[in-house]
Amino acid sequence: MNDISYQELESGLKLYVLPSPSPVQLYQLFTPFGGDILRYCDQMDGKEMILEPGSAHYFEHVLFIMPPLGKDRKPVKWRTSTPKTKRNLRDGLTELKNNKAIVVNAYTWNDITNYWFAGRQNNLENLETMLDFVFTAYLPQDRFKKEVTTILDEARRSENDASTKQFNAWALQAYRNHGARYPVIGTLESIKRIALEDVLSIHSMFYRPSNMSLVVIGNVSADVVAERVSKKLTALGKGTYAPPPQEVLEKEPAEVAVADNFLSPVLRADIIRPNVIAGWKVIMQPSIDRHLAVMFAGQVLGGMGSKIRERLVSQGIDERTFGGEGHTFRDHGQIAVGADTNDPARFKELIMNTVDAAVRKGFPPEEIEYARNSLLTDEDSAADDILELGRRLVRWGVLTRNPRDYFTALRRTETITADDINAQLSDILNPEHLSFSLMVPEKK
Amino acid sequence: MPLDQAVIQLLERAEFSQHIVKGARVSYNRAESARHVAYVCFTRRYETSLAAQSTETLLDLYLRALLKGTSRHPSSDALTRAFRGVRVEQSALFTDRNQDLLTMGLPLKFSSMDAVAQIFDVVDEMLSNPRAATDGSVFENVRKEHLDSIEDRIGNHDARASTLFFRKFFPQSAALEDEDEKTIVKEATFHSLQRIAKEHLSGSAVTLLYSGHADLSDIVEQFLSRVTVYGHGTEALPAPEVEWLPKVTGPVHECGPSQQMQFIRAYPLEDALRHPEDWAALKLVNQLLGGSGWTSPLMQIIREKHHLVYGIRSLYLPKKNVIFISTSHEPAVYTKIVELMDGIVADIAEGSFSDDAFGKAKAQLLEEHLVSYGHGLSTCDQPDFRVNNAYNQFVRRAVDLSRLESYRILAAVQPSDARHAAQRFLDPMRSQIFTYSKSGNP
Repeated sequence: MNDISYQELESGLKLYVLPSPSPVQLYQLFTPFGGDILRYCDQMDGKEMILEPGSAHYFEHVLFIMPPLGKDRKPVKWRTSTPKTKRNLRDGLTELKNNKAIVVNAYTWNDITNYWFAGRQNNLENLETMLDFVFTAYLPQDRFKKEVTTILDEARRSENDASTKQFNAWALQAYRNHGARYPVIGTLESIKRIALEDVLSIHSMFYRPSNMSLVVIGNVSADVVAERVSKKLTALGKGTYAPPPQEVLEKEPAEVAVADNFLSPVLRADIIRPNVIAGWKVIMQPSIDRHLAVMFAGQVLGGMGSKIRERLVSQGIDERTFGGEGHTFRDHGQIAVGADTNDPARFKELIMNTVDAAVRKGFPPEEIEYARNSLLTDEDSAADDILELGRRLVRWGVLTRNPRDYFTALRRTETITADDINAQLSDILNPEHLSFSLMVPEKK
Repeated sequence: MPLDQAVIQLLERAEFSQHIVKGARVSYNRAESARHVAYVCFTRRYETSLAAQSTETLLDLYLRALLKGTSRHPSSDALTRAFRGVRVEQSALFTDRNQDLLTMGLPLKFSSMDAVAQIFDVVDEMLSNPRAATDGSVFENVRKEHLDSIEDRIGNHDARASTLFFRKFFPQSAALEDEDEKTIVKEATFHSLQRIAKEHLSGSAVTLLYSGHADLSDIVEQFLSRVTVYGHGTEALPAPEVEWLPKVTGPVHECGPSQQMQFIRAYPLEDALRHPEDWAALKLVNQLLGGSGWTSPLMQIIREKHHLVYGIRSLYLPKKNVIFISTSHEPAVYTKIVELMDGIVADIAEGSFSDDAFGKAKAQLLEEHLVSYGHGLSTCDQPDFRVNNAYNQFVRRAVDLSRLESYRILAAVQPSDARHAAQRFLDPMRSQIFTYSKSGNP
């Protein structure tokens, strides 16, 4: 399973191909640029760019736009990629779906924007189409502006979900400077302020081939894919190497901005009982063990089957709604547990006491053993699903910039010891890094 | 157009062989996968859908109670450890109802056959020695959790809208109100639940669905002696009757705490399906309307051209004989959406689509037939995909044909068949609109 091949093309694009007997092939093209980055310096002209929250996601939406075809059925020649208006535009989703791609989509997270499709037939042709729209930002000005209403609708859908709203409140309390303070999609106010010039700058900066990776899973020759991609990039004028941007990460203090919102909780009409999230902000280091420590700690604290969870439930925490997990991005992460409770102060006390004891004594080895088994059971099930496996490869492609580290991390999950995990607890579960977000029912 | 032989071969390999062995029906499929997937199902037909729904509530409460542990595994977490300790996903026992057919089942996904005996030991213990039977406080806690979970449905707006719609317009299969459910839960005792579960199991048809690399004889040996202790019926239960939307009224606007308007519109079909070919043609009609997602006119016009919604799609529900459209949007754009939808449906109902559009929709539908796309992407070579399909066909009785059979019929549909079906079955002037939002009336 882990005989994934790697080659760097002349343009600097990194190509990974994992052989699979699946009847379907999966193609994912991603940049390690997501909602977290709100400020960067363009090295070409030294200009500092400030982005509105939600810019990366907005750009993902409009990057599917493609120029119309001329009478010769070839894309029209254009002098500017940002005309005021243009009719008969095409879009990448339709082009791929109409050429037998089975599923086509894209997503933006904190640290990634990933364009992907899965299909059985015409995959190399479809890959060329995907390269076409991802590497060509063709954005008529009126069409760019119109997209705002669709994205606002998406944001309102998201705000209509109580747990999303509560997590957003937690992030605002936990982060001071980092882009993770804001929802990846942006806020209803920031989305309206996103400008065409900003997203064009994003494209020239973060969508350089040398900053991007293509991860393929399926029964296809890596050399054939490489040749096809190289030819296409050359045709698009992207075949030669331009250096990737340097890291542009915000300096974020380890401590949270606000310890809790118990005096001004989130109010919701669509919940019946109060709910609390306890979340630790974790500043990541470039190490697989650090990522694993966060995953293990989340599992031990709140995962089904953990003895700590069992003990918290026996002390009165609501079993039905109590859960937790660890999640990491490239430069930050979160360990969070949450539950419904009528006594937020008691919930806070129980969680803080439990974690204080864990930090002092360490997690018992049998808890780490159980967490290991649990995490590996999840990976067993992901291995069967081409999309789940693909998501994991690109996740590591962002976390360490090397998708092959997914397999390294899997092997390390088997061998990492309780001591290895416990050595990190005082940092990743530091009470100064913890914030509580309370959401309560709106009084009728 | 000749059939794609590569697809035929793929789907032939996804077919199940049928066996009656030791008091159970066994549907077996061999898959070259490192993982095994098996569903053990106890299915019973009740006198009415309402009776099945009441029993489902009681069985759900019972299963929730079983998950509180046994004397040897005295908590939910301890039970989870017992499953995960042998690298089995704890897919809890479940209930599933299709009108008056009610299934109680155990889905198992595992990598080693050695885990099967251990899992059945745990399941036996859950059924024979649950903590809830001896400790009244455990059951009272379960009761409270269940009542809470009924109340919490208010937070899932699209599912809530869908439930309210079906309760109102298909009362024959989904009549139980939340308050009725709460009363059932409040009045239950654990011993009454045990009796009801025993009656359900002993009166059930037992089906074992399996896909993986083990031989049929191994499956029979590993599973059946453990399963048929609880039930051993081999009766083939016929599929429930097709339902009809009995009456179309003016738009119904329900109030609820959703800021966005949850919008549902159902078009009852004008005639009953007489042949699988009708089903196939209507699948294509739905694909052309909104089933294909992004490329469909619902999405292209209402989202991409007018930017009124984030997502919108249609479903063809053959067992309810409707085409069902759902979306969510800002309340202020309701009238515009209805107006645009009127035009789109009218065009499709007239058969006003090109052969080219038909060809693209059909090609998409045939490719999509090989996968199931939800959170992940399950493909037809995988045990998960195969067992899910077999479950829908042989246990839930929600589909009549296997993927192979339906592929052959879909592949034969011509543009004229789809046009004829659209004109015959779809009346753009007859639909039921239902919305659910904080603003109520738009």
